[in-house]
Order: sequence, then structure tokens, then C-alpha cells
Amino acid sequence: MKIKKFKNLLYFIIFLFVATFTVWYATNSLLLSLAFDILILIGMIRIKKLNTKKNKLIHNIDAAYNFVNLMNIQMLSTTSVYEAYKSIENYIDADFANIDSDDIHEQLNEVANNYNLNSFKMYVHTLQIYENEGGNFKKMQEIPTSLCQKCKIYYHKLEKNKFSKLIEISTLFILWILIIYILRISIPDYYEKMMENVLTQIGMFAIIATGGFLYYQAVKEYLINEIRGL
Amino acid sequence: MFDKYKEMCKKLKINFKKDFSLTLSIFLIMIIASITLFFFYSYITLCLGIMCSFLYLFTHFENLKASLKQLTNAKEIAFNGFYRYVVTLLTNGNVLYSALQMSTEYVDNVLVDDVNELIADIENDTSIEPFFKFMSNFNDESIKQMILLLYKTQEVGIINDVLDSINESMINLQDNSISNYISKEEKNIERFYMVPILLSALVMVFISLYIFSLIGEGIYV
Repeated sequence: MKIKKFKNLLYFIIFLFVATFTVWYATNSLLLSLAFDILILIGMIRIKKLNTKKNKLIHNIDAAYNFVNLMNIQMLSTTSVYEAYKSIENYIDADFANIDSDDIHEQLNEVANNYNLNSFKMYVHTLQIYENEGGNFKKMQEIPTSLCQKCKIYYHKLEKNKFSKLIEISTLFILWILIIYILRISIPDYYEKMMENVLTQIGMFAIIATGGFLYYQAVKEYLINEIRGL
Repeated sequence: MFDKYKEMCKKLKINFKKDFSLTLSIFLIMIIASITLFFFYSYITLCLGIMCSFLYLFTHFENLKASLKQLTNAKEIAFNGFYRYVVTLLTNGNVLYSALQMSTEYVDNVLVDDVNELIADIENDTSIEPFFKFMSNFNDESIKQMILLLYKTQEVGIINDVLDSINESMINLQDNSISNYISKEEKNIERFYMVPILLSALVMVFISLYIFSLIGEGIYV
């Protein structure tokens, strides 16, 4: 865990250094490159928050999927929801720990509300209806279970697809930065002269900052996943 | 057209009178401002002002339409869960009226008002009319068929085989709506493909403009 954190910090420092150097090289201004660093730090804090949220969603989906599958197997041999829960308690996520028999449905509803997954809420409601009204559980759970399974499959598929698209977009952004470098190298005299003017410095900074902001938006788009209905 | 506007506001739970008076006021202010500007400047300001006013009206109604479409979509997705609960309660021996009443405890917030309205309507009218009214909340034809089937269960009693066969169409319906969402989500990130290309062009134009201005200065010196 510590090594991973250290690795992430190292990547961040390298990224910050490259970004600072790029802005300084493109604008000839250390002040503007420091201003860009501040923008990067703000963006990184937001991205870290979104990443935590995304990881939590994936954890919730996996935990709900695991619970539903194990519960379905146990419900084949018993009609009591609490009994089924008790026999799978050790194999499910810690979020489901210490549930009492008296208010099992309330506590499951609470977990479902925290998870905020429609499919899982539907499954918990089905358990509640089954305990209160009875019926054929095998048939009752068909749709909620299929939704929970789809939830896992589709979210992982969406994340994978979005990640490959983000890599492609990142490559294009790197090419754009390379174009700035190439221009700076190929016409050094003109470029130097151009950056002597404060207005052109700010203009170039504005273009790079816009690019940075739009890249941040692309990363945000990758991190925010919401399939309504699941 | 006016009735459609009223209907849209009703479905979106927007105060029709308030929305209408606000939209009309902004539209009139924009028209008056463009006429005033016409006296001080030129007829182009009048044309532009009138165009902007109509553009404002157009975007306002387009926004209303988009919101209504989103709401309908959300209701269609919530319908899957609602229908499942009702079918379960019906197969457990409840009559439709009590099954509907019990389902309100579990149904999604976006649909709960419509279900309550359906329950209230069934209380006063046992014909198919309340079901037609409930149907108007959805665009999907298979959902409309499912609602008709609910009416049939009220008339004839529980038809287990039919209710079971609905499972398959419900799963298809879910698959369709999920696939639509995934492609929509993927399209959202695809918008950024154009950004680096546009930015590269912008950098080129920016530098070219400066170089051309330098060359121009050189010619005139």
C-alpha cells in the first residue's frame, strides 16, 4: 500500500515537473508556469475525490453482486431471509456485518440506500416482499438478480471502454504538446520575439490552460459513470 | 400547440402561468430592446434582436421538450421495477388494487405520483380510462402493452402464463435501455477527440498571425 502511494506521488511529481517545464518553455514565464501548477493541484484534488467515488461505486457493485449470488443459493434451502444471511455472513462484504434478525430488512435497506444501486434496492425489496407476502422466490428474484449481474458486467465494460478512449485522447493531447515543442524548436527566433510581448505570453498560456481544463474534463468524464436504471 | 405546452408543464410539474408569463415577458423585453436599438443604430440590430428573441423562445421550448424526454426515460426505467413488484404481489394472490397500493412502498420516486394517481382513478372509475391515462406517461409500446395486461388482470383475474411471459420482454426492455445509456456515456467522452486537433490548429493560427504581422511590419518599414 505504501509502495503504491509512493509510486503515485512519484508519478504526480514527474507530471507536475513536465507540465511546469512545458508551460515555461511555451510562454517563457516562470510566473505563468507556477500559476499553471496551482491549477493542476486544484484539478488533481478534484480528480482524487472523483476517483475515490468511482472506486467506491465499483466496490459497491461487486459487494452487491456477491451478496445477491450467495443469498440466492442459500434461499434455495431455507425460507428465512435471516437464516440465509447468517450462513453467508462470513463470505460477504463488511458492509453487511452485524445485522440483527429483528430489523434485517431495515438494515439491508440502509445498505441498499448507501450503495444507491437500483438493482440492489430492487433485490432487497424483493426479499422484503417475499418475507411479508410469500411466493415463489426463484421467480421473484429473476429480474433483480439479472439486473445485479448486468450492473457488474455493464459497469466493468463501460469502464474498460472509457479507459481505452481516454488513452487515445491522452495520446492526442501529448501530440498537441509536441506540436508546441516542435514550433518552439523550429522557429526559435520568431518564437522568442513573440514571447517578449506579455499579451502573446498570456494568449499562449490561455490556450494551454484551456487544453489542460478540457483534458481535466475528459478525465472527469472517464471517472463519472452512471448508468441510470441499474 | 398551447395545449401541448400546458400538458408539458403539467407533466414536468412546472407552474404553467408562472412559466408562460416569465417567458413572454423576457421575449417582449428582447423585442422592445431591439426596436429601441433600431432607432439609435441600424436595422441590423432590429433583425438581430428579433432573431435572438425567437431563438430564446425556441431554446426554451426545446429545453422543456428535452426535460420531458428525460423524465419519460426515467419513468420507463422505473417502470421495470414497479411492474416486477406488482406481478409478484399479484401472483401472491393480491387483487390489482391492493397490489398497486402495496407497490407504492417500493416504487421509484419518479413514478410514485403517477401510481398514486392511477390508484385514485381506479377507485372512481373501473373502466380502461385510468390505464390509458397512466399509459400517457410512457412512449415505449411494450410498456403500454404491459399496462393493458394489468387492466386485463383486473377484469379477468390473474393470468399466470401471460405474466410469466412478460419476464422476457421486461429483460429485453432493460437491455435496450442499458445499452442506450452505455452508448450515450461513451459518446460523452468521444467529444474530446476533437479538442487536441482544434487546439493544435489554434496554436498554429496564433503563431502564424504573429509572424504575418511581423512580416507586414517589415514591408511597411
